[in-house]
Amino acid sequence: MKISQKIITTIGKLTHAHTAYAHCDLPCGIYDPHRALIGALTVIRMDDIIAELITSHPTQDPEFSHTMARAVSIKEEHAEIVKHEVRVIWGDYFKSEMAAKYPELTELVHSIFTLGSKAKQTIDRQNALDLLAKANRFAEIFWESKGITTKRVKAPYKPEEEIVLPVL
Amino acid sequence: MYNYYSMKQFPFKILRVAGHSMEPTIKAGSYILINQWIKKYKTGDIVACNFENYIILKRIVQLNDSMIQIHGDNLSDSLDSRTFGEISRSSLIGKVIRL
Repeated sequence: MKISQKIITTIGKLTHAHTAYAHCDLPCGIYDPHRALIGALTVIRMDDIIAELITSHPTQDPEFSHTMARAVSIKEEHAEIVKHEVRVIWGDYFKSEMAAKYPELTELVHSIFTLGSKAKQTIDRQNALDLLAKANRFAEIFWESKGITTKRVKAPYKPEEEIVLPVL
Repeated sequence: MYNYYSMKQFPFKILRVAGHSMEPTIKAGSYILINQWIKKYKTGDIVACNFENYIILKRIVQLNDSMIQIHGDNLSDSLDSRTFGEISRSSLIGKVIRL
């Protein structure tokens, strides 16, 4: 951190600086778990692509290294997206009385975080499928808390797994 | 909540950033310095605005004599002019001069 930044940060902390909102703590009330589900689908897809790469490039040529690096990076990013989106909805949307109505919620969220971390660390497809399953259940609870029914549909793109959508 | 009058007495003001709409340019949790006495703004400036009694941080994408359009740098996680349209120039509080 530059010296000027350090000075600004120190003064800001000491003077309890006003808060400037760069969304989404406005609060705006815009919550949607869909991005978490797309993130989970992407993790599964990246696991599949990585497995295909290993099979199709036994000599691990430069093409392999380049594509592998990108697939791993995308998997990492989207596993974090799952965790982030769930964290925001759980922390900012679900109030204590709502959480009490869904006693499974705390354990569900914790398992999403754990599975999300493991999705980054491994190329375990079953783990990625479990992550999607948990994210789908989280989405169901979210929409139910708003009085909106849901349906499960097969995504029309690979890995063609089921995701929860609201019936609007 | 934001008290306009208590803020405008000094040319500079430090703000703490909450939210992700200006990432990666401005990270959530960081502190920034704004110039509140600035008169001229231009496209591309990162500004603090009064929006519904909250201070929000965005980048100017378009401006004329009376109205401005603002976007977050993190377009996938930003509530901005794409949603609430143009806002009045009078809502500008200051320009970010140090990240």
